[in-house]
Amino acid sequence: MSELSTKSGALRRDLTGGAGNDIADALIRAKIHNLAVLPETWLTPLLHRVNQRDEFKVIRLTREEEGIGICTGLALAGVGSALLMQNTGLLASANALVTIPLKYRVPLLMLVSYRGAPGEDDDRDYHLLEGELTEPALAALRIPVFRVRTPDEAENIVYANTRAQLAKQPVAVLLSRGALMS
Amino acid sequence: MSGFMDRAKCLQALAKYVTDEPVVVAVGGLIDEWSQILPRKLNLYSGGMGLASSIGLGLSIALPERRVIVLDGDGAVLMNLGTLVTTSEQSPPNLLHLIFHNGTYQSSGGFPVPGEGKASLVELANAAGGIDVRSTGDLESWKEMIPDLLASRQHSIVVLEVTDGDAAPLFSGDKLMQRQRFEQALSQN
Repeated sequence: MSELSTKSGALRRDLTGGAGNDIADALIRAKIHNLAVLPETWLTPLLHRVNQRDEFKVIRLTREEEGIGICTGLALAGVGSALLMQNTGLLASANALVTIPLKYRVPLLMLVSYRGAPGEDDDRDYHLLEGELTEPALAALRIPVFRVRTPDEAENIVYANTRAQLAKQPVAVLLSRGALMS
Repeated sequence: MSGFMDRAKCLQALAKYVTDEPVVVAVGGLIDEWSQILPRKLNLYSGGMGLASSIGLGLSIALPERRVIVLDGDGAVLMNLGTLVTTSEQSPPNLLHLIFHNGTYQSSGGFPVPGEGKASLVELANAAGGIDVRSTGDLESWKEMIPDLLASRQHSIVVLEVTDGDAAPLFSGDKLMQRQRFEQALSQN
């Protein structure tokens, strides 16, 4: 299995099993080849996977809200995309969501790692508050929520994308640890 | 500081050469001015401050055969400073990023932007990895640059030193309808 080498030498991962492949395959079924990405720990196997697979173009972000703008530009030109980030990044981007895809009615598929959420068995307790606030924030923004708890549920990404396209607005797919790390 | 141009005159000079390039305009006075000088379907008036350049990046990736123009403000760029790094990493050959530097948050009271007189947008853009970063405060030099900038196939960032002139009448159109027209116009070409 090829390894993504980084300048720091950090975070090589020997990928076994299907970690990330089910999600990557679902994105392809949804005709999504452009991914705007801000890395985080749970997303690591998926990110290694999409960096390896030629079907994807990965756009690296300095802040999540850039991805909202980038995916908007792609969407207005009729090109599918997804924004991959941690739920904390979603909270950070609330106004960007309001002022562009919500207000302008632009589809946006967000794949969001659901850190610290109730029942998520997140061993890092510093995410607990963000976890509690994620779904209430999405409800306040009137953004539909889809869940992918295991790799088997990856097809929900395709449904979520269809919803985004038809409703012309952002949707959030909350990815559990089990979907990302197994 | 030496060498400032009237922003409206800069935009008028640009407008003479724009044909079917998608133009993304940053939130603020630029929308008021550009929408008057060259109203057209292929203008997108950004909703989120700082994000015009990000939208422009997305468009340039989606439409590799078309020059995409971003009309950006210095305050907007400061709010999304990472954009200089992100766009330069992608370095799309069809992206033209114009940053109108008037040193103020013109549309919200005219207060100076932070760093005015100290920070250098040109140096920031170069340090962020920009491969073609230019600057001018001279209208004739700007006019001479335009045809080459539109025809060229490289990611260019141009910092335009402009005066904070009289504000144009506020844009009175519907930005949402404009977004619709923009998308339709793109799909028709």
